[in-house]
Amino acid sequence: MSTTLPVPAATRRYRPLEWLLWGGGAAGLAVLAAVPVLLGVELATSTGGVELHALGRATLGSVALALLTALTCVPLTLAAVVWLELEIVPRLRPGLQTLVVSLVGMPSVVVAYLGMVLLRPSLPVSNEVLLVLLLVTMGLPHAVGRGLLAVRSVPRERLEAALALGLGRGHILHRLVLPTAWPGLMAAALVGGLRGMSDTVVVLLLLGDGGPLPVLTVEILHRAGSSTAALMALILLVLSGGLTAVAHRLGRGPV
Amino acid sequence: MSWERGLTWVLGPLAVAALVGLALVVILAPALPTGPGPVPTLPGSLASALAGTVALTLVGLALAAPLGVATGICLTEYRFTGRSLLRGLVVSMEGVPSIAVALAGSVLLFGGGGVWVAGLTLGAVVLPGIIRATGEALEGVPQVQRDAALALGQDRYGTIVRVVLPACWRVVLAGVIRASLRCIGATAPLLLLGVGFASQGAEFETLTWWVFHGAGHGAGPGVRAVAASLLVAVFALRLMGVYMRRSR
Repeated sequence: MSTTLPVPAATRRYRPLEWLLWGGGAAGLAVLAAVPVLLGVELATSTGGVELHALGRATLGSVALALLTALTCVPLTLAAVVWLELEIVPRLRPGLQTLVVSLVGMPSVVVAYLGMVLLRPSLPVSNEVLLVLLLVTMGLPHAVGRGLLAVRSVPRERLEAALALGLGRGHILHRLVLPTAWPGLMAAALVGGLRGMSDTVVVLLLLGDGGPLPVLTVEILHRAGSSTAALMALILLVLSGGLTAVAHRLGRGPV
Repeated sequence: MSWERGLTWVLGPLAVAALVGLALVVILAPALPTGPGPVPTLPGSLASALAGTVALTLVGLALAAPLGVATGICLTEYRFTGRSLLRGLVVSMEGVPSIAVALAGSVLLFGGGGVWVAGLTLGAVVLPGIIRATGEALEGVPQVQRDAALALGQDRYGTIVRVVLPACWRVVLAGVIRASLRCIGATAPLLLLGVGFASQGAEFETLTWWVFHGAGHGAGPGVRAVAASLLVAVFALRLMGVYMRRSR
């Protein structure tokens, strides 16, 4: 004779709410899935053919800008992370780290405004250099935040063992911290570089249409409503989404 | 001192000082001299811009907060086929530039703009961030607490609502605050969705539009004050989020 266990009262009481939770979860995923679908609809319904030359130039421009930002971010991120985590006076460490991480949410339009109104008249550099400088400034807090997590992932026991063996701070940094945290630090620089690919406002205000190479974000804005813009948005989605996934994988993120 | 340490001591403080200096310069910007020549005035109203920013943020969060938290809970607390793939896709979507999402949102405009479509588009922009923040918050709760609740007769949903969420709601809220910052600071997606000066017939105006217009066309202390207050507000909210994350 088989008997079935009674369903606990708590389960019966919560079941409709649990369905609501699953409904919300499915709706959230549907909203995310709607983005590429709507871009596909835009591509199918918009008028005019795809301008392949403009598409290629803009893709090249975006990748070059991201690469330039990432490469500039690498030494600054490394230095800032090591200084903030290993070198700084312990009493100042939490406050400064919090300050730097808190700069992540800076609106890009404010940074662009700062560059246009305050920095451009006083700095004798070209708009292109100023653009990279501002993009690095915006990407650095992201990169430093991730880099700090990477350096903290180095096991404390290994640091103490190295100190006990008489290694100096320089050797510990060179032989233990950097090799262990290297993937996370590279992910941090990549995240900083992604700012270069995804920003629109700073590029638009500093270069407008006069840059050496067009970039995808600004071209999407200028060509909105055309097939080219829809295809550019799809390319941007794949490129930035792919690079973000790579950065998370490198940084042992939640992927 | 080895060369690595020397480089660290030069570049590290430089990078941090640049970031802190940036914040200070913008905070002190309204007090700086404006320079010679007439100062152009903007045809908008600050109250209208503030109302637009608040409305967009509220509409965006009304979509993104409940859906993001629910999706984050489902992807973290329940085991099902394809979960890892979905989590990977969510992470990827977090890095997608807002202008690409805005172009997708503009398909829904059907010739007209408005706070609703723009707000919902911003909601879609910040949704992956809320999902990820919720997931990370839930993962921070020790598994032993869930096991104890299940052993005491709670089902999975009861465990989530009565044990897991009360233990990490501050971190979830910090994720929502971070998303609200992105809504407040958004400019590029709004350029596709009808932002402009209301007095010139635009659907809505925002504080960021003021700063954007001021940066492009030159503007006086009013825009500087808006830029400074935007930065201070965002910085303070962000700081609050950071401390909420730590006070779990």
